[in-house]
Parts: sequence; C-alpha cells; structure tokens
Amino acid sequence: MSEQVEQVRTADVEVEASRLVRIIAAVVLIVLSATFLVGVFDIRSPKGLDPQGPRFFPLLVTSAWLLLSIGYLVEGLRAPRRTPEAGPAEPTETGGGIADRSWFEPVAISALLVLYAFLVVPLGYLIATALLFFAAARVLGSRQVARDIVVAVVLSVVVYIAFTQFLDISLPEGVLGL
Amino acid sequence: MIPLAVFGDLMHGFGTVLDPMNLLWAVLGVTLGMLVGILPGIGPALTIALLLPITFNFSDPIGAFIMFAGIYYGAMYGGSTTSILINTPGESASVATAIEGHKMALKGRARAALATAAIGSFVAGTISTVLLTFVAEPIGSLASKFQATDYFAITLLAMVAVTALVGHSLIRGLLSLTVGLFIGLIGLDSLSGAQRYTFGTLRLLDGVDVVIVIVGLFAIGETLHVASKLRSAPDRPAVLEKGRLRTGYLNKSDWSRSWAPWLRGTALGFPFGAIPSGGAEVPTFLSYTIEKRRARKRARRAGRQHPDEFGDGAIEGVAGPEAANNASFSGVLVPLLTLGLPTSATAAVMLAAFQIFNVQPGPQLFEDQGTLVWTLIASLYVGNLILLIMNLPLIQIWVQVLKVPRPLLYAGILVFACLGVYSLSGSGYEVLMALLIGVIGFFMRKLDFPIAPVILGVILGPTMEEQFRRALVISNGDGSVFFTRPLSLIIIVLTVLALFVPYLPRLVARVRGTQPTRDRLTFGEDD
Repeated sequence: MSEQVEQVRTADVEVEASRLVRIIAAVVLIVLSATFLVGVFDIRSPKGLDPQGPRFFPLLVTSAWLLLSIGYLVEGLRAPRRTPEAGPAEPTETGGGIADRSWFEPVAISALLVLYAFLVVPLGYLIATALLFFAAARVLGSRQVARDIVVAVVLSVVVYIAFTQFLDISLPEGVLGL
Repeated sequence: MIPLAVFGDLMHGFGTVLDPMNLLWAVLGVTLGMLVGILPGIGPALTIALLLPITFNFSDPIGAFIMFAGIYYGAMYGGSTTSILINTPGESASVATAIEGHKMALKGRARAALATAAIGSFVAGTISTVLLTFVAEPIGSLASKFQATDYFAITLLAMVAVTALVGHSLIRGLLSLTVGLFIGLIGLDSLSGAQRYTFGTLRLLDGVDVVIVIVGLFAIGETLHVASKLRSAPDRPAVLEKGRLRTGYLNKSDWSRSWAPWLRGTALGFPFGAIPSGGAEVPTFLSYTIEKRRARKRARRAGRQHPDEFGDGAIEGVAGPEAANNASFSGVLVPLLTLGLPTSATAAVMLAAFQIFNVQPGPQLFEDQGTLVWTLIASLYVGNLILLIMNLPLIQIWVQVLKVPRPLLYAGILVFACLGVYSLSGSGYEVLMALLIGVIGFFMRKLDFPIAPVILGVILGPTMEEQFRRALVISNGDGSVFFTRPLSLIIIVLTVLALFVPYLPRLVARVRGTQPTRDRLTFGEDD
C-alpha cells in the first residue's frame, strides 16, 4: 500500500519534471534546427538554392524541423501543469525522471560506453568487453558477482574466438597479446 | 493468368533453401526471432541491427536474408507467447492478442490459446506467402514503369503515412522524421559532391552509417531507457503455473471457432502489411474488433443473455489478431521487394541490409537477383513450418527464456551493440557516435517520440532527394512534373490524406454529432 502512495506522489513530480524536460527539449531542438538552417548556406552550391542543387533539401528539412520544434514548444508551454498530458501515453513512460535518482543508471551506462570506446584498443577486446559486461550488469541491478564474472568472461571469450576465428573480423588483442 | 514460370522459380528457391547451410540459417533466424519476440523490450529491428555488422562478412547474402526474414516472423510468433502467458506483449503487434489470450491463460486454457496462436500463425503465414509468391512479380513489373516523380511521391507517402500512424502525436512524429532526414543529409551530396553538415571532419564525409543509427537508437537507447526505469519498475519474474500448460491443445469447438478468424485475420493482415501503415498494429486491432463484433451479433441472434465470451477469454480474440499479425509480414515484403519501400521499422532495417549487400530492391530485383528473392520466399514456407514445430511441442522450453535476468540481458545487448559498431571500421569512434545517437534515442523514449520515423527518414531520405532531383533534371527544372503525371499526383494526394487518418474518429464523431470516444487513432510502434 505505502508503495502505491509513494508512486502517486512521484508521478506528480514526474509530470512537472516531464513538462520542464519537454520545454528544454523543445528549446534544444529549436537551437539545433536554427543552427543547421543557417548551415545550409555553408554548403557549396553553384546554383544557390536551386531545387536541383545540394542546398534545397537541407533547406526544406531544417526549415520543417525548426517550424515543428516551435510547434512542439508551444504545445509544451500550453500543456496544463500537474495533469498528465492528454492522450493514451503511458504516464510512467513520459516521466522526466529528475525528481528521483533515476538519471544515475543511464549516465553510468553512458560513461561505461565512453570508457569502453577509449579502452577497447589499448586494453584489448577480451578485457575491455568483460569489464563492460560486468560493470553494466552491476549498474543494471545485478548483485550476483560470481555469476556475472563467469558470464562476462565466457561471453567475451566466445565472442572473441567466434569473430576472429570464424568470421575473420579482427578484434584488438591489447595487453594480452594473444 | 498465373505464369507457370513462378512455380519453376519457386522450386528453384526451395532447392536453394533446402541446402543444409541455408536451412541452418533459417533455423537460427526463427530461433533468434522467437527469443527476441518472447523477451519484452527487444524487437526484431534491434536484433537485425545487431546482426547486420556480423553478416557483412558473409560471402553470400542469401543466408543473411533467410536469417533476417526468420527473425522478423519468428518474433511475430514469439510475441504471442509472452502476451498470453504474462500479459506483457513482447512487441506492440501482440497487444491485441494479450487482451483475450491472457484471460484464457488465467482460465487454465493457456495451451489452447498458444495453440490457436501458433496454428493460426502457420495458416496465415502460409496463405500470405502464397499470395506474396503470385503477387510480387506482377507488382514488380508494374513498378518498372515508375518514373522518378512516382518514386519521389511513393517514398514521401511511405514516410508520411507511417509517421502519421505510429506514436501519439503528429508533431512529435514529424519531428522524428525530420531528424532522420537530417541525419540522412550528412556527408557528401551524391549528385554534386558538395559537403553537407560534415562539420569539417573527415569521419562524416561518408555520412553516418545507418547501422550506427539503428544500433544507437534501438540497442543503446533502449538499454539507457531500461536503466532509467529500474527503480520504478523492478524486474518481475514470470509467473507460470506448470499445470496450466498441460490441459491439451485445441478441442473440437476450439477448431470450429478458430478457423474463420484465422482466415479473416489473414485477409486483413496481408493488405495492411503491404500498404504503408506501420506494420502489424492496425490489422491486429482491426481483427480483434471485427471478431468481437461478430461474436456479439452471434450471441444476440441466439438470444443469449451474456453477449459473448469477449473480455473473458474468447478464443476468436486470439486466433484473429495472431493470424493478422503473421500475414502482415508477407504483406510488408511486397512493397519492400518490389519497390524497395519499407512500411515498418523492421522492414526499414531489412532495406538497409539489402543496401549493404549492394542488392537494390525494386522492379529489377526479380531479374537481377532471382535466386535471392525466390530463395527468400521459399524460406518463408520452410520457416513457418519450423516455427509450428517449435511452438507446439517445445513451448515449455521457450517459456524458460523469460527467466533470463534482465541485467545480464541488457549488458549482453550493450556488448553486441559495441561489437557491431566497432567492427564497422575498427575504432572506438563508432562506439561514441552510436552512444550519442543512443542518448538521443533515450530522450525520444522519455518524451514519447516515435523511433520508426527516424529510421525511415535516414534510409529513405537520400533516395527521395535523389529521385526528386532526377525528376527535375529530366523536366528541365519544371516543378509541375509532380502534379501533371496522374500517378504521382494521386500518390501525393494520398500522402496529404494520410496526415488526416489519425483524426478520423474525431471527424466521424463530429459529422454524426456524437462525442468522440478517442481523440486520435493511435497505434503502438512497430519495432
């Protein structure tokens, strides 16, 4: 029961957060599309904006993008506060998730992927991948350390052997120097 | 006038598909498809995207396509299992099945529900594959008369119609589409060689690889989204009482109540799959509604007090939608093979696969790649049979899949996502790019933006622009060509009309002077 009450409360906060996130997203979209719209004129085109030239489609796409972003901003600003947005959208799906700590996991996963991108070559595929799997499983809520380590190592080894031996895709050897 | 040559071609296709190696790909494909169909949150689009980089190294694309097709319709089968047993549809096309199917399971008739779904899928899959066999080539030759303006118009129609039908808001759908179109613009312009949005880096000269976009949006975006929901929605293990699965297959009354919905479902699924309506959601829900209405009518005629079993586990409500679901897959293949036109996200990913293998779907496909096409079609017959065998006696094994711990599953998806994009060029840069797109995908999920339009935009945008400019070159820059050629004009008018389809219920209600029951027609997203 107490869990339900808590859920209702966080839902309220989430709708607020979601409204804020929507407005921020709309502003970001407007800034991006406006920048790219200006960027149309950086495209080298002997024919200017002629529909046959390389500038015409970017112009169309970025203008449509800008107009739609403005529409999205207006929609977001006009949305009533504290009531879930109209339509059958599942309220849990649209939660902004600033109120609780739910931003932690996605940020942690992103950080892991950035690390992986930089470490996969120097460390080698096997070590980097096993570490990625183990760390990601932990961030995603797994608490069975021994099982995760076993799966991480087996998965990395199997993938490594399958890809380098059978599919001829070269993967970095790294420090192990296999 | 059915050309006898079709049989010869098809037999040739069977000859190729029965080759042990190709059979293996078919089994592998449908098995993977079943797996991802059963697992909630992972769809066929994601799976094919993860496998794309691996199949680059196949010397023969036929095996890859047999596998991809198997994944697609295997997922259609698998989705029903999850819907019926734990009421969490593995993919959106199974939502309609869940309504009555889960009720049946609760009444201890899970096995009958699973059986009518599996046999119905088999019947629908086979009938619709026969339709595909005879319809594909004539449509292809019809399409060979298409000109650049028609191609431009029909590409536009596909993108706009799918965008209008998926998701909850037209503005958000179109925003997704423009973002996809923009990503498609990045790189060297194919006609003039001008650099567009490369931001001065050599990396972007070739554009953003479509595999990175797909893996980023689906695999990484979905994982980030799942990660963010961990606290609010804890991992709930599937509850399944063993006894409920041992109550026998279909009894006599089940058969007599199932066969007609199977056929009606097939009749809905195939055409709706073939037109740009976003895949299987529309026909499955239509089938559900039709079966429900018919049941009510029948009950009224019989003078029964309780109108029907609907809402309480009616087998018609499982048989119809499941048949529609599977028939729609063969329907989706018609425009994909004959016009190179994807009508769902998964079809778009398959189109990307064709392009990667330098196979251009379209009117010429049946001439240039006859073996490939006919083997693919033959593999559908074989795959449907494999799935029937896998689903009836082996269903207990599949149910175990639901017990895979979510953290390990998503960690594994990350590993394969990284592997896929890394192997594109052998550098960590691709991983970063995919992460960037994954973050975009994450926010799109948070803010309820549909994903499918982005993929369609990325894949179809460049084609659309090329056809548009080619048409203008042919007409010496006269923009009226798009409106003077009747076929193009009709398609463009249809495109405009497609934007209004979601608002139909409201319009109809206004004309009738009643309150609309729902504001907009909405369908879940096909993944």
